[in-house]
Amino acid sequence: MLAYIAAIICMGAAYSIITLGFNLQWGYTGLFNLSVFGLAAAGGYTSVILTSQPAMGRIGGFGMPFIIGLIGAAIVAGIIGGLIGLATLHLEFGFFAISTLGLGMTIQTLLRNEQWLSNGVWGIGGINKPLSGLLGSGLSNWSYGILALIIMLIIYFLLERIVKSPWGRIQMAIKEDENLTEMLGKDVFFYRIQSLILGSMIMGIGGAVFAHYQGYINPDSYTDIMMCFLPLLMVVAGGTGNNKGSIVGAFVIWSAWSLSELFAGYLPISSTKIPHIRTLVVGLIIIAILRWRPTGLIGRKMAVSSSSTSRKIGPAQNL
Amino acid sequence: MIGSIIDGIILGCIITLGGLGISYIVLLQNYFNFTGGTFFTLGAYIAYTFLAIIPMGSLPFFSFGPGLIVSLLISMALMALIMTVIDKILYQPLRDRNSPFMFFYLTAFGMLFVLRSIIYLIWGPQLKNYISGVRENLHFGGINISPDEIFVVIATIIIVAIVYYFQYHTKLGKAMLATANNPRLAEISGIKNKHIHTTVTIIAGILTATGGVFYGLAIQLRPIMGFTLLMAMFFAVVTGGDGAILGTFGAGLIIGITQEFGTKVLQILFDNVGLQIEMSGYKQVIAFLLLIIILTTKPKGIFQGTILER
Repeated sequence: MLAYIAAIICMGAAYSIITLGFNLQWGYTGLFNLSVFGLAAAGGYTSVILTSQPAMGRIGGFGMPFIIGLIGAAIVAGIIGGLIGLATLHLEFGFFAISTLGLGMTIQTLLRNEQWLSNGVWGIGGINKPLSGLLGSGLSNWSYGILALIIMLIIYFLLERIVKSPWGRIQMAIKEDENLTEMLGKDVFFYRIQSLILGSMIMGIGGAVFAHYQGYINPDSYTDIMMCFLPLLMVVAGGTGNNKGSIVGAFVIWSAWSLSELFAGYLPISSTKIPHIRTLVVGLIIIAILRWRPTGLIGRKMAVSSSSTSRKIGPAQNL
Repeated sequence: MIGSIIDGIILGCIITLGGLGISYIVLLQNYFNFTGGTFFTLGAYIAYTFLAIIPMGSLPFFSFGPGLIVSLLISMALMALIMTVIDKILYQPLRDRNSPFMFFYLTAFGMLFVLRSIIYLIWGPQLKNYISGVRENLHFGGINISPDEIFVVIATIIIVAIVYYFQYHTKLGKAMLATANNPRLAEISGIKNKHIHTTVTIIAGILTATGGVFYGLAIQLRPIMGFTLLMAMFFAVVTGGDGAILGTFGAGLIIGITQEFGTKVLQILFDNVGLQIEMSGYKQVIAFLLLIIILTTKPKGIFQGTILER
């Protein structure tokens, strides 16, 4: 039972970090970035390649410490996010959405096909779990979970500071009324790409924390369902533009998701069908929330432009 | 080599049909429907189910019989119905509320996974075929092509022609263009916008189902076949320009031929240089890269302006 709680803490912290990055892009700036799974995979693989021991047939094995892995993950994910932003961020909303989805699929394909980089579908195993010996060998998940929680809290407090600064208010203003912000003399593209890069870096770190907990990753660890769809639900459930809500959403949804795995064993359904039933339920929940409760379960009020007139014209509605 | 060009033309026809389904929704409702690829798959699987009930029969020249045509028609009708119901339940309230585009994209993205899991639950992950057994190929001096593939190409050309005639030479099609161009002005001149949205969704459903069935006929049925073609379809939509039917057809052929013939050429090139890259895995990556190139250079599409001014 205690081991189960530790597992939920580790995974919940990893998902919280990814969700925080997603929430910065989507909840504050209004960027609908669908390459979360690609960016998290890029971060995870970078960190693993930097920290693992040398192996035959692929690059890596630099044996660096965990912190270097995290920094590398952030840098690589940030660069990838910045590149896609440079290409498509000055376009309409929809073009950004479809090209980020394509970016995620591209990173998946790359990791599947390039054996020198990622060992293909066989994946990379034997990833070290930092601090695993600190509380004794039986409690390795607890010590790692505490480390993951600390990383999550650092990111959370940094984000809270950032979004309350003038920079964060400009991001919220961009989301609520892009033309108004442009008129105030702010370079919307510049602010958007900053938010995109920062959010991507956080997603990369989240992917790395996830990888070091799992101990073994392959491209299927970062599928679009687990790493894009689930964070999406976490943000929607927690309320967009709400960092606390993202963390709560991540922990609640992940607990429900992994508990459903326990109870699914008692249902008279074959085990191959269970993942699809869960996806179906999650999808229906997202659609139902959008249909009947569009501000999320813990919503955020319009922060910057509270005029009700802008609601009718532009993309100024709250989500 | 020439065989891969023909494969590309067939794939291009299929992409065109799926792309036109998405293109109509972009034209009228201004969002890229992520679910388009999954609707495509669903249409193919519905025809597969009905093919198990309806006897196939036989036709003289082709390896399929009239049963497939009947299944295709049923699949078209059902897909039109399913897409209209989803549109009425999920998207109509969003349009009425004047919601931001984000809501449309999110709903479409949620719908993608809902439909994909339904497909997995009902039909399972196995590959399926409409026709069991070996097909006979025709030989034209070194080129192999099956009669079914010829049927796919000719049927696509006929469908594109019908849709083109419908859009530019009938009253309803012109009303559709008017609504796309300026909804309020169209409403004033007596066009019912809601009816137009329903019509467009029905046309999109018919085209999408046809594309899916043709994919199943020419290649095979896989649960994620539409999702892997999604980037190519978006390329066709963006390059073709909003609602430009012939433009989408041209762009679909371009991307189809690039995916089949271009990968072969690149493979030979890389083999000669000495790079060890297996290009056949990168077909959708090529579509993605072309999409990015088009978006950075000509985001309005190459064929834009020739047919419809917006």
